[in-house]
Amino acid sequence: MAVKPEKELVRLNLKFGNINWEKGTIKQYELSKELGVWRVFINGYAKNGFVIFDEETMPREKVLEMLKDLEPEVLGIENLTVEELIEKSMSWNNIIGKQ
Amino acid sequence: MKENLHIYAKAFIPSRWIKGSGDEKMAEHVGEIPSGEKEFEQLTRRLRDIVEFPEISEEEFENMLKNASRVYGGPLPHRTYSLCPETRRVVPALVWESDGKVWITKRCPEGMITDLYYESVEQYYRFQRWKYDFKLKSVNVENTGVNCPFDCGLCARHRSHTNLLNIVLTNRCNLSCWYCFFYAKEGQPIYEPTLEQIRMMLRNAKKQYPIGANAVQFTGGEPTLRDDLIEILKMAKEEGYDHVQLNTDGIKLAFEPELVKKIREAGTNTLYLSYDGMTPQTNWKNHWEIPLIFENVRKAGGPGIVLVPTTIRNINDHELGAIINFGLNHLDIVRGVNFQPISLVGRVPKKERQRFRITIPGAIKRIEEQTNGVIEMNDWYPIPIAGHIARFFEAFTGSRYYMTSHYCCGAATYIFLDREHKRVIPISRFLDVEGFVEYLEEKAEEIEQWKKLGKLQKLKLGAEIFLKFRSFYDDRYAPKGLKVLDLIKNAFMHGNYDALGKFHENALFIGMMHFMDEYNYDVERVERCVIHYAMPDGRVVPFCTFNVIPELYRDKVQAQFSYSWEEWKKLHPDWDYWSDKYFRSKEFVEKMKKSELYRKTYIDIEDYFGTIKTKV
Repeated sequence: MAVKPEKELVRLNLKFGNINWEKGTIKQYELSKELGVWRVFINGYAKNGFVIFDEETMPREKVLEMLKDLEPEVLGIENLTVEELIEKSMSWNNIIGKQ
Repeated sequence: MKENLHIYAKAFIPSRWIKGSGDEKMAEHVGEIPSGEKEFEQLTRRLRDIVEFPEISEEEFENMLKNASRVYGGPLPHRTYSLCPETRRVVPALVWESDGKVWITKRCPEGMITDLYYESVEQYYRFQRWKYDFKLKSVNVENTGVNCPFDCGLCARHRSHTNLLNIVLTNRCNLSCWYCFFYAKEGQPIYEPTLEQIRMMLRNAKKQYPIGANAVQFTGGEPTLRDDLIEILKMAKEEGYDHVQLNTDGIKLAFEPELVKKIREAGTNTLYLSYDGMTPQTNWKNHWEIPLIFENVRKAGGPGIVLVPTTIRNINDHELGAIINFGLNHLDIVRGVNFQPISLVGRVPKKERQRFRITIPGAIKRIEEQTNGVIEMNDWYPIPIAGHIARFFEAFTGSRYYMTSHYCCGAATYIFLDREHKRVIPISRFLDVEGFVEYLEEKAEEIEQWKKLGKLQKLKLGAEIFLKFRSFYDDRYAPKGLKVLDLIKNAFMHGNYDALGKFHENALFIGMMHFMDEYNYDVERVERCVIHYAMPDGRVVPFCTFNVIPELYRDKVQAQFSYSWEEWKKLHPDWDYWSDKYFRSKEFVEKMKKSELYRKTYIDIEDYFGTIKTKV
């Protein structure tokens, strides 16, 4: 397997100064294509978002460079592993409303 | 075109023994690994039918867009979002009517693009009536869906639970289809999730809330190439999946009867078997192997087979009736035929789309023509009609499974074989399906008012529904020997489905599922998708984002989780790329041609629709 579960990933929580829905969508697509990016969400309406990436294949500077025109401000940085990301994605950990 | 046209198809070409085709003798390409390339090139030399796309100016587009309906299920013209094939931007799109057909037009950065959306306005509205939305209350990503379809998934905006979960077991394949860039070529990375990852993917979809997945399809590549396939099939059952399906070209099953037996014993319910036509040319993938596959399934006592013809205008669209007839002739093992109108993924020039595009109503119309009107347009129902039935069953029995796809994604019906009179009867000829579903909805509303449904109350209600059912059912037109009333009685009064076995012996499911591509992409459809892929990174992704935007989903995640060629070789020192491949020899084909089995499978069969001109 190319990816080990213990592989470290970085999450940048962001706020944007120059964004709208269209710009956000385009940027999200561009970042999503990158092999080193594991998750990305850029909300053009709320003007915030996050990128989870593997710094070994995608340097932080490159991520921020790609986001430059949206005028990003880093609100927080978190570390997590691939295993943690997968676990966080499981349906049972993400129930958004009980019936 | 060759570089760009990615077809979720398996094969094609016209027959020389089906009405509507000429007598031109088609070449057969044997003595090599089947790829379909020569057959396709030969076939496309002759075109019967081109779709003329209507013209629309930018001004007309803007005007229509301004006044278009916006709510899901609104009248045409209807505003939605689509995808630009070139820039991959999400762009506003218009679904509109012209000349009795439904079209989709979008203004992309490089210009206006129009494609055929649905070939019948009448059917569009008839099916629209049965739209049904479901609210999924669990997600797998934080994305809200505002950037749909780049937010998958599943996100908070998704409106269907997973009805059928797809898990790709490998990208190794025994064939080398010319249009496919998915399978691993020599030297390329190999994607093969571990057993642990597969279990995680199964659990993830199973635990969706409020309804988890209950059906899984293992796919590839060619999933039968995995040595641990049986273990995987058993695992799906262990994880509580009632329906386990194997998507295969069947080649290995033709030559390994023991494998078929093991697959059945592991609990596999269905072989979802590629089957694109009636001749070695249209079905270059497994025409010669099909008799052996059928024989092995008969010997093993299952699993049931669903034939899957990818349907392409000018290629195999004249054989649809014959394929159904073929299924009816093997009803002891064939449970259904599921047509898949072609999805033209990639950059495909307008000219090519005009030649190959077909939609659900177009395929249904051809079936009507090719079955001499036995199976008509009105015999079909949209998939979300099942949502209305599900609502009743949830209220009545508490069991929940909502098939709530967009009304343009799929269609289905049942046809019954009256063996005594050699007649084929669609369900709609003896059962007022729509009337009955409306009645069930009324009952569901009634039950939902009650706080609790007691045992006696349930029995009483079951009896009432059964009695009422008779008014929707006309025995005079029902197939003889089939006790539909008993079946319904058992279902509603006792929750007993024992009669289902008998039902399947005489009934054939026929369905259509039209997966999208960049040209007819409709975000409203993808939001409601019911067929999903599990990814090893914890996401669950709708079919039409996984395959239409592979750079974000399928290809990317598989690249992240693949073994390099060197890693794979190190892990499997005895493995050889070419030993995976299937070589169809001339001797094998000659042997099959002369065999009794071949004759019984293809030639000595009944013509239930009176449409076969001459036999081979």
